[in-house]
Amino acid sequence: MNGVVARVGDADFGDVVLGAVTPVLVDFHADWCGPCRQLEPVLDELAAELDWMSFVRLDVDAEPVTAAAYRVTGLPTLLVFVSGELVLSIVGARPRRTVRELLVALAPDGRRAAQTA
Amino acid sequence: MTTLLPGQAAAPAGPADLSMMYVLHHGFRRDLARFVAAARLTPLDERATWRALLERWDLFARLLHDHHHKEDEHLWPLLRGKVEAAGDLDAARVLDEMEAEHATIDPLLEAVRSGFSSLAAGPSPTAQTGLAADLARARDELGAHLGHEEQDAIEILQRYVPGEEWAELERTELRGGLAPGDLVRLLPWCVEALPDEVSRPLLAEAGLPFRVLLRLGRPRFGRLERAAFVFVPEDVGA
Repeated sequence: MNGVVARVGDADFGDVVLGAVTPVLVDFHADWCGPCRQLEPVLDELAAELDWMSFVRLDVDAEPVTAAAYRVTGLPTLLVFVSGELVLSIVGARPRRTVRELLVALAPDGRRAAQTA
Repeated sequence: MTTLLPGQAAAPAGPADLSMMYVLHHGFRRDLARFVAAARLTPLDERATWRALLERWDLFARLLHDHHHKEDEHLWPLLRGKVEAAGDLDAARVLDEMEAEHATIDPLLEAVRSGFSSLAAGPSPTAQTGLAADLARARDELGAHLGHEEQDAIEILQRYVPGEEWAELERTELRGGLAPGDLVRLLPWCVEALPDEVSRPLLAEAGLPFRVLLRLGRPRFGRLERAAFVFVPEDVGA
């Protein structure tokens, strides 16, 4: 899945996100949300670059249960899970550089040194 | 007890012996760490395990509810009387916060029970996702509350309550009223994963009747523990 932002839904969130062995970023978005569309290409690029983590996208209108469980009330919301644990929450569109810095801070030691350059 | 148990935030010095309070806090933290892992690692179709988790959750929730209820009924009112008489507004504010934090935890416990109940009835990916989120929230909120209590409320207790008064309160109201049937369930839960250097002196001090009740309760508790947390690595909550 690395390098591609795959779709995830209520039915497979447990397997794909909570059961993942690598960190997973979940992009909670909706078709009508303008800032979500702005963030989309940024996340596509980061998914290709940060190959130690997975990126998935969840449509909150089609898949409302997971969004409610994690109390997602603003869009876009990015949640990062490591070993099933929520470790980072970013609400609202942010510049590519900010998102990248926050994600690189979660990288395994060896990767972080290479990617902070 | 000067050694901090795993996860314990503080042990303010003073005349009162808070050993049992810290043992209970250790049990709540240990359980929530195991429940969080179980919600993530237990396969959806393992119905027997989800049923055991529901039964184990009910034990946890009953003990936590009992602990908070006794604090709300006996400990906070005792402290409130003393800090108000002294005009200690900062301490009174901490007691308000303790009661408010208790009130926020109850709805989370209900939500978690509903999640376990649903998974015990049959596989539901959405229930598992909701349960994982609710449990993580319960662990974080209860963890923050216990830390706040250890840091600030117990510091107040140590300042205002003489050792003999605390011992009497523990004997009569906090530990009092427990029937042997309650102790058979409570004691194995208390000593589970407790470091030896803490459990050994506690049991020696507790006396023979307690040690007998512990021995009676251990097999059943151990069976439930293994059935509920069969997919959880042994080091979680240790």
